[in-house]
Amino acid sequence: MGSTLLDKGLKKVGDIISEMAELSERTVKTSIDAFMEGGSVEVQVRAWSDTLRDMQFDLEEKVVELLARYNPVAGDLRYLKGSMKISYDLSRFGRYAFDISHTVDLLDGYVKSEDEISFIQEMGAKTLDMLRLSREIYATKNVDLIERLFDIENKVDEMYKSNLKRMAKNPPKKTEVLITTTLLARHLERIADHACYIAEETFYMVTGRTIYLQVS
Amino acid sequence: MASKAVKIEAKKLNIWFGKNHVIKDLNLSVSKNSVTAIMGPSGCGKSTLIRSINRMNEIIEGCITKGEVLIDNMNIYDPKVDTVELRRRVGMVFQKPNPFPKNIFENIAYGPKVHGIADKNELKNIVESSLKRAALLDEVEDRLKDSALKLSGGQQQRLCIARALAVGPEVILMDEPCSALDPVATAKIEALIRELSKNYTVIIVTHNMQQAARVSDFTAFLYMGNIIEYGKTKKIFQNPDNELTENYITGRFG
Repeated sequence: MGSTLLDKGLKKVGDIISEMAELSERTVKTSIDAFMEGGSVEVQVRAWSDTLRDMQFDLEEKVVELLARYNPVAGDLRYLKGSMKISYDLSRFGRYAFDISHTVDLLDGYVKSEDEISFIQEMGAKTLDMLRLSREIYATKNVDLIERLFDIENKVDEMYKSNLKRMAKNPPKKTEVLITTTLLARHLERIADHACYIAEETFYMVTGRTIYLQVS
Repeated sequence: MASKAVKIEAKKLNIWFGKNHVIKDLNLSVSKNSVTAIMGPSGCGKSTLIRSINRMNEIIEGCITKGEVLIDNMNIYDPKVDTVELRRRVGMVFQKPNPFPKNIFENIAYGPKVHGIADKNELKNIVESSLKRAALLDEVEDRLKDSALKLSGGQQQRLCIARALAVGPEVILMDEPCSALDPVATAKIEALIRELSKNYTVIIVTHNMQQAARVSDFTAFLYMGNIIEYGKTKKIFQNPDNELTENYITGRFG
């Protein structure tokens, strides 16, 4: 990046995205950990989620200002468009993390089964991997990593669908297990989708072309 | 390049001013009834290129032109071509409005008179229709006998466009037509350029990239006498193929 006034603005946008990515990852991880380890994190996660939403608004304001002031074109324009969309995805991470922490708090107090813990643990780990990978793709603009991200997404998606089928076919004795597992899997699956959107937006920024995950 | 019919085609065009090789082996196809913007840094040959389309360069001493410029498949550099007739077909609007020190009516009627039209009614009709097509008639119809020099800068530039239209051109060349105008006058000229492109082939040289993005269907990026990239304006400004083009339009050039 050069040293024009627009370059300074583009750097500011990149800094906000970077900060949002770090906070959103921490927010999602905290909410998943709360399910595994117990403890109420809803208030903290809600506060971080609100911060992410505020940062998204700040970024949108910055982008609109840069559009109005400098009329960016080509790669700069794609970067700003993509960053604005990515800030929304990062803000959604916060919202889904809050939904997870809210569900955990509401249904706290029952004894979790090993199957349930290991299922959410595995799906949560995959989802966090996707968050980190999407962050790396944006930061490095290395679009070759997208294939790896999409591979994990397909696995997360498969876990979500097979869990739904399993719950329908053999409902667990405890209703809390049914509700918690289904809702948490749904939130994690949505987080994984937004990680893919970040990769798709980055691909557009870099190449000017669009790419979409082929749903398996 | 063009989906529409080709109106102008430059083939292996080379232009020198003395030892200075300004246009180098340039090829370009311009679509009929479209707006094509030529952009590039100062001294890249933009003005020389458009002036080659009505042979205006040859009035400059030491200019040598080689290659072909075809309009409707006819080479305008053929020795048999009548340059007066060529310049009727290919009108030009310059950077600064340059009305004649005459009244508004006479500014427009001058060209048709030179081309042999003497009938007063016919001249009146030409003046009115030219002013109308240049979106100026409403503002000046009550003062056609006033000096053209009393008009505002934007009005003077539209007068110059009307003057070019009066002789029935097919192509209109515009060399930085808005550089001396304020934003309101610029917006009027830009709207006029879009309107004119329904019936005329317009080529505009501009330093203002946003203007090229706003008014043109096609954009050519010229650098050191070569066309680096030429394509649909939307593509050039959203996703250019060439790194040099990207650097130029994003201001990271040189």
